[in-house]
Amino acid sequence: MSARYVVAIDQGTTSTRCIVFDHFGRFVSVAQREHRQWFPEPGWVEHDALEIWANVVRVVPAALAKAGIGPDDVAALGIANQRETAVLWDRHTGRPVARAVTWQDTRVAPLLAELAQRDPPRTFRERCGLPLSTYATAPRLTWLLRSSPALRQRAASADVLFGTMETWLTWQLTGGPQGGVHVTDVTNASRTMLMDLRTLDWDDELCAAFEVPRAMLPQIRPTATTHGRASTVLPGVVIGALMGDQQAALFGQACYSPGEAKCTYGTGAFLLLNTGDQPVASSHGLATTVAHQVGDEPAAYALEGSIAMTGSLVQWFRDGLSLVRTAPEIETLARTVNDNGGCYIVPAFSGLFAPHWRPDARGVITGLTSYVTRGHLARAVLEATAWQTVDVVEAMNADSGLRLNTLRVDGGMTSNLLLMQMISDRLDVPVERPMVHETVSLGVAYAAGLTVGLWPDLGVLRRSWHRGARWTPDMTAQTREQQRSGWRTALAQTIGPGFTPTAARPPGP
Amino acid sequence: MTLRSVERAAVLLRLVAAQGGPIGVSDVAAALGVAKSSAHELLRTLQEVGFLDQDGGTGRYRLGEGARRLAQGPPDTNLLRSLATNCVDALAARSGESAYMGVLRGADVLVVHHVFRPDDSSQRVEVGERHPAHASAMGQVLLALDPAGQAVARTWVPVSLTRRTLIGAALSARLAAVRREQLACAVGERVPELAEIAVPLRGRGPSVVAAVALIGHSDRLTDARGRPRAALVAHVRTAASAISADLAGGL
Ligand SMILES: Nc1ncnc2c1ncn2[C@@H]1O[C@H](COP(=O)(O)OP(=O)(O)O)[C@@H](O)[C@H]1O
Repeated sequence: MSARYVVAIDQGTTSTRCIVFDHFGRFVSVAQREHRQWFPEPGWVEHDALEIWANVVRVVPAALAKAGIGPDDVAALGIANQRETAVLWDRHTGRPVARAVTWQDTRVAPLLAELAQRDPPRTFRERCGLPLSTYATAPRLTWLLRSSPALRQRAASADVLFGTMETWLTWQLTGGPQGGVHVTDVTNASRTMLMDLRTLDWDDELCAAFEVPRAMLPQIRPTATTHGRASTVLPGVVIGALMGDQQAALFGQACYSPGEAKCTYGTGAFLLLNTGDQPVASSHGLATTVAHQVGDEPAAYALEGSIAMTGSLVQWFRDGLSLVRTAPEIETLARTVNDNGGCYIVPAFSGLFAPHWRPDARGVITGLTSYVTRGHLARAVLEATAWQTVDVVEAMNADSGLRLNTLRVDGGMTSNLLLMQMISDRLDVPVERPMVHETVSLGVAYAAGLTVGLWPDLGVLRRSWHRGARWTPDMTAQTREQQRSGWRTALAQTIGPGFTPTAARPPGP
Repeated sequence: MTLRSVERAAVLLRLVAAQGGPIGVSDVAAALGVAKSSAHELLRTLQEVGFLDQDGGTGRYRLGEGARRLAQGPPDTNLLRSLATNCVDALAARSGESAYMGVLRGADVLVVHHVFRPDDSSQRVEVGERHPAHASAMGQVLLALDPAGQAVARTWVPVSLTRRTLIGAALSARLAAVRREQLACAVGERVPELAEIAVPLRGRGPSVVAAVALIGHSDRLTDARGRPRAALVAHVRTAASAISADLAGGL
């Protein structure tokens, strides 16, 4: 085989990146372009889908040029994407009918109460795995289609198409108005609220509840399969995988077996636990999603817990309090003291997310005494990320009946070694980071390479994952429990009198 | 340099700092009461050591990065690691060996970053450990090239750790070679079976702020004649220029 490289497109919230990997799964080159964020009204966040497509057209050849290769050297292309962002476009002209409404956009909040009455929310949730929230795509479609009867009509006749970013880009890459393929994959579809997790197909009742005509929806396909062949940008190259970014990171971290989990620590954090070939319903506020589906094999499912504030709390410490000049310097400051001095910070700046789900919660700092210095505050900031991780992991253990035995981590905060040790100490399991940081791109590249036979199976991919560093627990059970109760007391105070945190303890001996 | 010119340099730096904006040669000459040619020489010297920057368009001078840094101390080691992290990962992945980054602290190298050898053998994070500088390749790079290291190398008396540790004249000769080649290779000088290949890292400006190294079994890192393998040297040098570029952008 002469084509020995895999190209990954990571269409993210702030930028679009193209990364070239060689046939050992090693990073070769990258090119990146940011796109504009549009804020037309408070709470609205939009992207221009044409600008993003234009960026793809530029970054792919740029990354190939840096690698010194041409389209003939590329065995497959994979696309990973920001999830839940909705694009509607005219199938005849190839132009979006409006700017894309992104996952951060909260305009549908007033609609949710009304939509919740259509169906007891548990039924929504049991079928699609997601709680009704502003994140999911379906309410956005309700909003968009209600905004114009003409648009609804054109959607019903499939003159206007819907897609998340991977769908839009695949349609453009495979010819656009001239025969573009209109497909999505199970991981992205599982974030819309319109797919039945068991049948892996659009659910008529969910579509009806959200007033979405099926004609406008893409076909749902496995993650790793031949989605089509590019007719432009990389002419002739197979599009071998489509994948939501967090699921791609799980795949890139080689979490292929039940009980394996990864957490990505950036602005916020996303923890995904592979639960095997059956969806696990959560009674602790977690989302159930599809982890991946390779070809005709059964789908693998995951539980997902998101933490709103991790890196962003460090940013607040830097910019809001001006206690450090750069984010990494928080580690230096935290190491000036040995413990948190009794101080805890719960960053419920805009409510508590998984597993508590209390939008009315507000952030607190507890345990302030004249003993507390900025070093103690720095520790409390980092510990907040560790404890929030513990709360999500315990909820996952309780829901799945599995017991996490190692946490794989990635994202910008993993260069903070004190934080990695704190997480390991408080979870009481080893924490590992991979040698390749670009887990999103690597994951979708792995999946695309599987499709074209560049790699024979998951076993080979598992063996090509390498550990860059590892931390093991080094804290007595007594200290852990003592600190946990400090955290819980602080948590309770985010709500006011009478609130007891709902986080589950692990199923246990 | 006479004491008088040291005094003039100090006055000149204060003058530039007090000025707020860039200052020209004639103003400096007038303020110091010296000839324009002497003022010019003084300005040029201070520019060469990084205490002044010259504006390309107007030819006027302002305080340089070196002067602003004086009071700040060395760069934060956690920031160094954060900035370098992608490139050090790539170094370990490509070379197949453990990659390290270190800074000088007194007569020791402090390990500020460590990426495992990609063979999934049992390894532990060695960040925070100290290696005696004279016996480590990173240390030799810093003793030879870091201004603080040169001061250390002149005053303190190193001890032997292994049969192959260099001390005295042999160490001085090694440091001179490191200065020439911008590379240190230490085989069995700190730990008998380990070889180390290190090169300097520079931030903005010419001064060395840290070193990056591969450390591993000498059978893998050196050839039959005990010389560092060329491919590994190339990997370390490539990584170093990428890291230096990232440090320049972020420090
Ligand atoms: N060494 C560090 N210690 C603590 N926080 C850090 C460190 N380095 C980066 N961060 C935080 O991580 C976030 C950036 O990580 P990144 O993975 O780039 O995020 P995203 O992809 O969400 O933009 C920022 O919020 C920053 O404050």
